[in-house]
Amino acid sequence: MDQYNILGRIGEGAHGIVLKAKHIESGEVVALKKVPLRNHEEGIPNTALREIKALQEIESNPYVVRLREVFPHGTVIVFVFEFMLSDLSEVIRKVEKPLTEAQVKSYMLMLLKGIAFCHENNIMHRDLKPANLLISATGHLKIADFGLARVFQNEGDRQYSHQVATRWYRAPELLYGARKYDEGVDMWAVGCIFGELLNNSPIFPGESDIEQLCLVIRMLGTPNEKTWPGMSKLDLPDYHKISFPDQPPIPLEEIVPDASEEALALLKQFLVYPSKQRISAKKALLHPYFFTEPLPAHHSELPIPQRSSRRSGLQLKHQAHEYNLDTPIGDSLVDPDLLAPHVIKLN
Amino acid sequence: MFANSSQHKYWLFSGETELAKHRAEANKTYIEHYRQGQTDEEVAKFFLTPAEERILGRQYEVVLRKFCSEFQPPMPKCVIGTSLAFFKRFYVFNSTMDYHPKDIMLTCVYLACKVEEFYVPIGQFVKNLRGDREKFADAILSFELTLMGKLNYQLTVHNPFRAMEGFMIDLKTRHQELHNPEKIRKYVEEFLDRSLLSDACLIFSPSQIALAAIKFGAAKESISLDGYIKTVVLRLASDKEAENTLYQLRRVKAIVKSFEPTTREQAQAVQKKLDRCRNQENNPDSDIYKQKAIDKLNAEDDIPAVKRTKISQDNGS
Repeated sequence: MDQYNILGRIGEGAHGIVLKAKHIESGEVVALKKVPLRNHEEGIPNTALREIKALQEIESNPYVVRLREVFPHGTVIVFVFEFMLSDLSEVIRKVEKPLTEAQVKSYMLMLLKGIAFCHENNIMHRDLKPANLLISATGHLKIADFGLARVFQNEGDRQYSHQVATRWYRAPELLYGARKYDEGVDMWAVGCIFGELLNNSPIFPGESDIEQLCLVIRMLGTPNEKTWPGMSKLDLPDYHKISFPDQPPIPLEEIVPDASEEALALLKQFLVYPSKQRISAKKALLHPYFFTEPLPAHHSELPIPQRSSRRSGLQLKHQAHEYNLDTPIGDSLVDPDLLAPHVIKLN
Repeated sequence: MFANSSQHKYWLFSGETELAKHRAEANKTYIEHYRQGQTDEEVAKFFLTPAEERILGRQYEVVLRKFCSEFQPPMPKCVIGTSLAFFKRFYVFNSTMDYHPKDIMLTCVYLACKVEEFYVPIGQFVKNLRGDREKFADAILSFELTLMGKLNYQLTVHNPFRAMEGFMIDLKTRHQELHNPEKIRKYVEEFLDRSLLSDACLIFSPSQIALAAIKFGAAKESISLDGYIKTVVLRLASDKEAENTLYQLRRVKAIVKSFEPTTREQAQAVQKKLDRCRNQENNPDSDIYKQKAIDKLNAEDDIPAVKRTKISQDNGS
């Protein structure tokens, strides 16, 4: 802890406070996530353990937030992450103009690359949502918060908790209480995030678990053997607890009216009932959506909102290097005549 | 993927020689720190030698496995494997004099339960112990962070059990000459069980251990799987790679078989010596340990609280 200078407070998560700090030796600005162990009769909380476990096994990836180190401090355990300026939920909330198609593509590309990497490393995130997708000072998106991440094994007999994922991004099988599921739950969440980027508002903003299911069913239609083959054989504990009148799906075009054809085609492949039918991250990256005009934006063309807690003083510093295209270039240069007397001429 | 796991990168050693070197270093570091001008002769009498530390380590590995196999509720094999892997990794770079194996052993099992998602509340966990359960619980929880730190927070352990099941399935599908692979299962599992008490998991990949278990388990039924290994498993390997794999399998066998149980007398003598030379700062029963725990609690509300208020004031102005 002595190696860090605390600069401020970034926020408070479910598992502890997050501070902004500077690593004294390297000067690097980092985020310190402090997970208290006190009051935990069971020692190190499972969420903290899973996060450590998952992040220690994956090599660094540009689209996954990097865990620099972990250390105990008194009875607190401190995670040191690279510092990130903002997150995608803030981007969606704060941008003045809606995101352009090129920008949405760029975010989706980074998100899918990060997810493909996690899934290749047998890690399912289980809690993807815009607030967990951090945005760096250079506009890059990185996946964070592996507190619910599980290392999965394709054995098929492993039971998991269905109480995962923030409600709006929770896959239908989880809403029905499934205990056996796979990385498809992440792909559902990716679909929800994609829809949210296209619409600038969440596509399934359920107020309760029941309403959440209603919203999903309203859009995809009541599930049946045709739209969800084998669903009766799946173990969905809550399926018989609630039944919905038969209703047809609403065409996606109506829900995301401004989306391009390719965007809709891709979105449709995330938001389907059978988890196995959802397009994998790796495949999605090859979808024509990413190869048709407008092409994904360069990261420098992405918005970088400031954290809401930051005040003008700090923001000014960040804008010091912004260039104004309308000012003649001469204005920003130093007059050579002023320098002349101080230049030592050689020979 | 095992190939890019932390186990592959940081916790596989070249062999017994390298392990012995690290352990001897840990032993020496401890002694140098605490000898306080004692002569070499006095040191040998008072402190444990690397050989004595190994006796102790091996004995506790046996105790650990027994504790796990009698544990209620019954635990999956991977929890046993991970517990032992944690325990062995811990004592590659730490001396048993610094941290008593009885404390570390229980903490390893408790942490392995969590890591392998076999959730047992601490209250239920210590019901498997006889004696002052509250004291055990306190000790386990107080060493949990230390253990994690000493394991470099690398907590994922790849055990050979899944690889073994994979080979069993492979035998059924790609080596049908062997009509009933299940008949070798008993011996294969015996081999894996024995491997847990050896240093195999610190030297070989789980698939090497599993393949060795299959090969030498089958041999017990007088079945040779050399043909299967050469023509099916190593079909794409070059001659040199194949030869090396077979050599590694023989090495696995040699290391697994070399395990010799320690006798009760041996272990007791070492334990007695340990009681005097152990680090009291890491002994939950010592006064110095208790004082340290209190200091830690007091020190924990640290500076950031003060700095934070200062920052919010700055913002407000």
